[in-house]
Amino acid sequence: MPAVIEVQGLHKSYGATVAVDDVSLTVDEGEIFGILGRNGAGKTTTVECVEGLRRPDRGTISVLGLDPRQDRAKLTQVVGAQLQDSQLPDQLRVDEALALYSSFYAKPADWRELMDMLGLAEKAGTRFGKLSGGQKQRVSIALALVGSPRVAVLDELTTGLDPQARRDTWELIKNVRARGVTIVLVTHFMEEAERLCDRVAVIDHGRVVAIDSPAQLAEQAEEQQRIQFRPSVPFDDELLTSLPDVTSVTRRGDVVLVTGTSNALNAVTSVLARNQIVARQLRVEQASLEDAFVSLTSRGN
Amino acid sequence: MSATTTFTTVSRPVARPGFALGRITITELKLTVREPSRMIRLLIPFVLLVIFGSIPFYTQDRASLGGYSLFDAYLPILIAYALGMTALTGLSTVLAGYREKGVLRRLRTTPVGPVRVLAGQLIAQLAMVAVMTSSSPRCWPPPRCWPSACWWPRSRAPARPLRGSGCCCSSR
Repeated sequence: MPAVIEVQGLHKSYGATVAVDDVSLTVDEGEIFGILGRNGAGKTTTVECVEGLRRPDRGTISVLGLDPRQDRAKLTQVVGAQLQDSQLPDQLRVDEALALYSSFYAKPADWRELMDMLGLAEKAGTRFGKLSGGQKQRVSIALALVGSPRVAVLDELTTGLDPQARRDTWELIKNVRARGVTIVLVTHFMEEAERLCDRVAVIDHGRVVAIDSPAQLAEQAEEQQRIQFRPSVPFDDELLTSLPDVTSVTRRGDVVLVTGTSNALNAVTSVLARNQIVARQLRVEQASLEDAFVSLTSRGN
Repeated sequence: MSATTTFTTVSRPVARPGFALGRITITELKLTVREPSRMIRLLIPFVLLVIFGSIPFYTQDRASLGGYSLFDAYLPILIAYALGMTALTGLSTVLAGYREKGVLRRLRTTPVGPVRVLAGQLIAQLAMVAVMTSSSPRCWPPPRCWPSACWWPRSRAPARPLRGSGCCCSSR
C-alpha cells in the first residue's frame, strides 16, 4: 500500500525544551495508525507539524505528496483534523456548525448524512455548550470529516469520556476507516490503541522507540504468563514446580499464583486435571500492550 | 482500498469563496443575537437613545445649536461611540474568546483562511452597529430610506436643510 504520510527526521524545540527530537514514521493508506506516548512525549507536536500548524526545525514531512507548510491550501482540503481541546462557540448549533464548516471546502461531505452517521441527528438543533462531552467529541469528529478528507488526524479523541462513550467512539472510528479514510490516532490509552490501531508508534522523549502492530509489541515485551486460581483441594507445590514451563509458584492465602512461559497454562491445567483438582476462579494474565509500553518508555529513565 | 473516500460529497461547480464568507457572516450574526453579553453591549446605545429621546429637554430645538436639539447633536456621538465600542471591545473580545477556546486553531486546519474569517466578523459587527443606531425613536415608523436617513441629525422645525438629511425623511 502506498504511504500517505511520510515523516523523516522531524525535530522541533520550543526554546530550550526539545518537544520532538527525532521522529520518522510512515503511515500507509487505509490504516489506523496510533501514536502512543506519555504526556509531553511529543505526540501532539508531531501531528501538529503534519497538519501544518507548526513549522518543524528540521526534517521533512510529506502528506499525500504535499508539504504541510508550502501547500497549505491543498493540504487543508484533504486532511481533516480533530485538535486537542478545540471548542466551538457555546451558542452555535450542531447543524449550523456543520453547515458552516462544510462551506469552507470545495468538495465537502454531505453534512446531514455525516450527522446521521455520528448519531447527532437528534441533536442537530442543540447548542454546542449544552452537549455532553461525548457529543461534543462527536461534533469534533464530524467537523474533521466534513471536508471529506482522505486523512483524518484525531488527537486525544476519547480523553475525558466515560467508558461507554469511549466504546461508541471507537466503533465510529472503525466505520470511518471502513469508508477508506486513513486515520492517525494520538492517544495515551493502551486499550484504545490495542483495539483500534493496525500499527502503533511509541514515542518517548521526542523519539520513536518502536513501531509495530499492538500484538507484536506486546509479544516483544514479555514472554511470561501469570496464572491465578483457587484449588478445590489442597495440593503440594512440588506438583507444579516440577513442570518445565513453570518458573515459580507462590501462595496468597488459599490462592495459588503461578508464573511461567506462554505454555504454562496448558501444562498446569493438565496436571491439575490428572490429579482431579478443580481450579476455581482461574485467571490468566498475558503481557499486554501496556506492559510493552511501560518497558519501552522506562528504558531512558 | 480505493484512493478516494466513499463519503457522499456535495460538489460545487466552482469553489465559491463568497459562499463561505456569507456563512461566516450569518453565523456570526446569529451568535451575536444569542449571546447575552454581546447583546447587552449592543443594546446600550439603543437604550441610551430611548432614554434621552423621551426627555423633552433633549428634544427641544435650540437656536444655540443652529435649530437642532441636543438629541440631534447627541446621535452622531452615539454612533461614533457604538462603532468605537464594537471595534475596540466587541471585535477583540470575540476574537480573543475564539483564540482561547481553540476555535481559531480549528479554523486553521480548514481551507477557509484568516481573511474570510476576519471579513465575516467585520461585516457582521458593522451590521449590528447599523441596526442599533438606526433604531432611534425618531425613526419609527421607518421612512422609506430607513435606516440611512436617520443617521444624520435632523431638525424638525424650523427646518434648516443639512447636507444628507434632506432625502425622504424631511417630509415627516
